[in-house]
Amino acid sequence: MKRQKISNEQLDRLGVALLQAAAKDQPENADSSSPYFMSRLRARINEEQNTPVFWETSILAARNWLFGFSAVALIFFISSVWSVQNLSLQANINRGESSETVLFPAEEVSVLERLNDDSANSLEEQK
Amino acid sequence: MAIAISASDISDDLLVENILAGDSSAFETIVERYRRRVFAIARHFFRQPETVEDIAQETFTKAFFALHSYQRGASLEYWLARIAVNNCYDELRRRKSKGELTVSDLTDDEVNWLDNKLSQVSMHKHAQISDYQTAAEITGKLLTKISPEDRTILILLHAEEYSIAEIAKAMNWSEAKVKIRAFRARHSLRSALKRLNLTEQRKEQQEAAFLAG
Repeated sequence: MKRQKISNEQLDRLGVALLQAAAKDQPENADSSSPYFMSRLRARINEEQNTPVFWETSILAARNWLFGFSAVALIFFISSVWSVQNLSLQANINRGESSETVLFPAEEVSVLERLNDDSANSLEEQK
Repeated sequence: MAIAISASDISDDLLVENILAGDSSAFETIVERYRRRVFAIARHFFRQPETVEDIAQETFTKAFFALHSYQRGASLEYWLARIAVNNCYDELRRRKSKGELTVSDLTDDEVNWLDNKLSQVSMHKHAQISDYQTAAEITGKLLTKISPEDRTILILLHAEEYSIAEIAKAMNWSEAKVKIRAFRARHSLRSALKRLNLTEQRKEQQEAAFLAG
């Protein structure tokens, strides 16, 4: 047979004939007649019936991760708040303000001063 | 007088109603009625018995959980066949994405067998191949070289003998897409056959060169 002369039409015909012949191949011991098929199928259906749906399994799987991530996020949040507070305290001290002024803001100091003034006035009055 | 009604006399629609009402034996009747059909479809796509059974199980399991969506009065056989075809197509794509599609070359005997069949087909336009088992083995090997879409189209067109409209409905594609795919699929199969001949030609050339040298 000369292969150079094989036309596309011949190859197409061979392909179709092959597919049609292959479709007729039915093995003697076909699995469709297996007596265990039904019991295996029943087991699979029962298994799938008892399996939780996708979103439930996803949440269950993600639950531990969620706990871990939230703990780490909380630690980061606390440490960042603490470091910001430290930085601002340090900056105020560096600006020349006394640690007393920094720790007791102006309004609170004025209250203390007012209390001191009041006690001084009452002492003078008593004199 | 009581009239005995066997399970085979009950219509598909009534069986579906019974299953939905909780009668599991009705489902067994449906499985018994259509398992040969479902297995045949799966066997057109896959040769391994485990895969074929897995596809059949998957088909009936999906059908069981989707029975409420089955339209009464429609063909239950066709509905199950659609599920089976889609399962096969998904399995082909899954295997391709995992690189599991094994491409096995044909043996010399198989190539000679094909040569013989090619000459038969060339001489008689409607020649048929009678050696089904060899044809199935060779076709299985040839189809591994073709994309899942093309493979599905070829099997549905020539093995299942679906019409273009039926394929479009089964695969949820437009008819135009099916026609284009069918054209490409035939081209892919032809190329796979051509490559075989080229390989053999090359081997003959190598043998000739060896003898000459």
